[in-house]
Amino acid sequence: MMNNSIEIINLNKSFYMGKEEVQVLNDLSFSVEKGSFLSIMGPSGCGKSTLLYLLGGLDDPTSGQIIINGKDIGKLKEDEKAKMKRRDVGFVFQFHNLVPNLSVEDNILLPIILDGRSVKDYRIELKGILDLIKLSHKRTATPRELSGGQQQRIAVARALLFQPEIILADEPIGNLDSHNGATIMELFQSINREFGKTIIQVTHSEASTLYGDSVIHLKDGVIESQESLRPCGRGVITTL
Amino acid sequence: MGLFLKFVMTSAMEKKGKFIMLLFAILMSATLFIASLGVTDVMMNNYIESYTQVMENKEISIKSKDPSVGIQLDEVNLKGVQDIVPQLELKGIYRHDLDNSTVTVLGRNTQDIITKNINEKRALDHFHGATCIISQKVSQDLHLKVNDTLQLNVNHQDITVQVAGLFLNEGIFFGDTNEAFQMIVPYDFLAGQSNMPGMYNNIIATGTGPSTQASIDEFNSANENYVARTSFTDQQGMLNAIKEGRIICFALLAVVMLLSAVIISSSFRLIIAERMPVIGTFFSQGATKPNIINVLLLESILFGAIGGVLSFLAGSGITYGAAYFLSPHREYGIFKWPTIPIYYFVLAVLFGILLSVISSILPILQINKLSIKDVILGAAVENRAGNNTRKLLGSGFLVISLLLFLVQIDGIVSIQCILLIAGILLVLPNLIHVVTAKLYGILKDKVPVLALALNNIRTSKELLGNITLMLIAALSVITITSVGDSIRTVMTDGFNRNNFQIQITVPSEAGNITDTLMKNELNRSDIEQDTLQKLKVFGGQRNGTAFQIAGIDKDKYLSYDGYIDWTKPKNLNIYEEFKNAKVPSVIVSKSMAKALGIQAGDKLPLTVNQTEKELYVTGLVDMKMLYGGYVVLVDNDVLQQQFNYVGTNMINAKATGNDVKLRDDLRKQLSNYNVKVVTYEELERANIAENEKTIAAFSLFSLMALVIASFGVLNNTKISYLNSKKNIALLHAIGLSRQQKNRLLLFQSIFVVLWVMLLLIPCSYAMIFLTKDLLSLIGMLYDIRLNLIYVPLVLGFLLVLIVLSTLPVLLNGKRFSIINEMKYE
Repeated sequence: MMNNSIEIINLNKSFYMGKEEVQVLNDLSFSVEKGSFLSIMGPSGCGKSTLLYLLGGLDDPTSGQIIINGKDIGKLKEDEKAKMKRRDVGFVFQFHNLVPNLSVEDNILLPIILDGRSVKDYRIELKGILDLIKLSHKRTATPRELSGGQQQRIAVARALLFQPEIILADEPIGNLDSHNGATIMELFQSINREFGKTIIQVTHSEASTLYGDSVIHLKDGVIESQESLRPCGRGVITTL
Repeated sequence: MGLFLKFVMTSAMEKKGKFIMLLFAILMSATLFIASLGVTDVMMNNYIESYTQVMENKEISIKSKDPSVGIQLDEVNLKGVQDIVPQLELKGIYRHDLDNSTVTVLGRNTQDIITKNINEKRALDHFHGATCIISQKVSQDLHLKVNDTLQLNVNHQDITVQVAGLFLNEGIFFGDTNEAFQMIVPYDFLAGQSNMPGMYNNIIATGTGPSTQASIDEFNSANENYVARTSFTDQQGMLNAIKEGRIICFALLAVVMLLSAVIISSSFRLIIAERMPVIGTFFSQGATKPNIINVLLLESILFGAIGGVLSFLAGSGITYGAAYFLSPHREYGIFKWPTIPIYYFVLAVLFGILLSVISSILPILQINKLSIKDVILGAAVENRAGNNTRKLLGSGFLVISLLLFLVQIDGIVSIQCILLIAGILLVLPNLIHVVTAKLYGILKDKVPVLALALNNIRTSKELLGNITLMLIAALSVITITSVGDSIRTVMTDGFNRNNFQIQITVPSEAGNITDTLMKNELNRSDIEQDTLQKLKVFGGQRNGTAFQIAGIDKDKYLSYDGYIDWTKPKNLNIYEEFKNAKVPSVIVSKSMAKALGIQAGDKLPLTVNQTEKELYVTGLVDMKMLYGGYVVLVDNDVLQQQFNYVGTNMINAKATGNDVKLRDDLRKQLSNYNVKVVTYEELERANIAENEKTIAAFSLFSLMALVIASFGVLNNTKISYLNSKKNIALLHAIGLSRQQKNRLLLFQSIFVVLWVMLLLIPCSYAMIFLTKDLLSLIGMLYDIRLNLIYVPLVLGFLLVLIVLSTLPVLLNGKRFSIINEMKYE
């Protein structure tokens, strides 16, 4: 299945709320093809954000496997996981999540800086991405000097600069007005189409799913349905 | 508002860490305040009691104007005095195991001896003839039992007495030591031995007048041949020294208070920041800013009051402990618990409240500057305007301080120092901001984690707070220890720098034997004759100010005194003028001159031996703490010619060979004189032991400063980590490894200490100059010097402390959950 970017096999995740165990994801299995743009939808508490965090290696599953680019991330050491986050998977959070005491430029370069790579080598890419998000004039500003939309564009830029194969986005436009939201989604779409990056987004917005190839609907921790938005497009293979 | 108050109290109970931290900061300072009062009270009471007990609470001593003539009771007019106890008081020497003890032998009639229990009463049954009563302490220490006999040398003749009984170490035996103790013998026996039948030489009594002085005046005007005086003239100096000690304690306390204030202030800032959403809720329901401020003030008052009450208990505990350890006879079961005045409780509570309110008032009043709408919407941001004011003010202070330094105007060192320290503390955040921003730019490409750590220091209030807190703590400890060291140096230097190897103490009762001793006995080849000199130190008083008169041999004194800086041309000129003066002259210490308003060229009226003469003041010299700092140097010949005063306290000399051998030889050779021979080393050991208590007191303040700062730093480090958890989670989410996180936290801690290191030395010098100036303002001319050895020690301690405070975070790394930290809402 080397054509798959992500494979999820019998994935379970449960939490304890007080003494009670809550099953958030229930024996989930599916795979995502390389270069696809998948949207995950579902009501609040259905487990969609939890699924995204597990895919990004931010949390560990209770059981099951997650294979990213052929590697079972459950078997990766902490350092290898950190490296994967710096090189293979870009994450965009709902609430921008920028480091407040770093400039726009440094926030975007952060994965590169943490990876010990020379930021000088990324000058051209940085300029390009700042132009792309139309924030070249704000490169030395700090996040508190920017609007919500601008901050989210920076968060997206950070997830793109190091050219990861996979981009995970948790309600990337959930906090933005329609204009800014559309700008971000167009950006994702162009990245997906022009650079062939795999994108998975969690969203409540039907409109934002239209920028992608396919949608899966989660309910109570299981896949309720899936749909392909393009007849010949890449999509999700669900194993039930 | 009752509801908000209820919320505040519940929060205090829930956030126990901060509650305890606040209480602890208040408690430490207030405890030191009460302990300073209590312990110095104990010291003063001990001292007063040691004296009044020995005098059996009789404050007046009556002697014959002519010391060679005794007192005949029937010739004394007892106007102004009552409850008299006539006694024959002679000094003697008791030799044992090659060492000598000075014995004050009191010849008393049986009816004048106070007994406290049945054993003491029974002892008096055998108190006839050549018998004596000594204290239990002396009995134990010198292995003397009832019926043992002692050989004494009193008035150049050997007498043998048998121990008739042992008394408790109270009353006249209160101050007994192995080296000097009291002994009561039957009056008839001593009068017979000393050929003074029916004669006494000292009557102690209480006054009948409204004051001791009035009683003395009444007695003296009614008696021509006898003179009454208070027994406290020489003791006032000691009491003044203890009071000075209390002032020094308060000065040290001020430094500790500063630390407490920083901790209280930052704790309140955090408490308010944490409660902002609830404050917003209360605003939305109609609460006003004064409502919120009042409740927070009430909270501050409550913390202060609780801290005050606890500090009274803790301070009392320290006072009780000190009273026990300072009690001279605790090992003999004689110990009196101190009485702690009830108003100390009120003082403790007031102190706690004031400290708490003053420290928290600024963060509380910040509420006034908030926009109610922003607080309700959770968008309240810190007012940055204050930072600019702070930067401008701090820069201004530094510039003025620098200008004053360049201009070098006398007498404004304190202002310079205050401006320098305040300036550094005010511009510190901006200074750190500028420097670290630059360093971050340079390092981010090379050592990213190091660069991020630097960047975090620039922006984290808690880490900046840690730098301030550690700087103040390090300054406190270095100042306190340097002051302690300097005072110890002053105390020991007064002794250590004296150039002698052998000292012969001559009691005044031994008569005028000094010249005989020097000519006939001490004219030996193993004594450097150029250094052989007399020194007499005794108390004087002028306009209620007590001082010491030091009688010196002016031709040899400079070879003895290495303490006062006689190498200074100004001082040497004064001494030369004094030495060659044609009129009776004195040199006066600067402290005493300041207290009495004396200037060079003045005539100083001096009363010695009931004779008042005016002596010419050749000059004023900084005599530091010589004999307590208030001193007059007079030539021994002037004392003899002008006042007919011949008594000598000491003969000092240097040995040409082995001083211990010289001491042993002299003890044998001078065994017929009532003198005591000791070496410099013996006196030095005793002096060091005496100073240890003072040093221990200073150490207590240093320790408290370190403890308070340690808690503050631990607290700040924890809060800083808690506040940065979300950012760390974010960094983890984009690829920060656990090792990188640990390095980041460690680097942050190390940079905090590095900043303290950079600022500590200039601030320490400023602080030392400031302390020196402030102490000199209250008449304490200590030469306080920065002891640089403490700088690396304190920095080492702070580094270990901050690394230790980071350790729990590093060790708990595995429990860190990115998801938990990044949860929205």
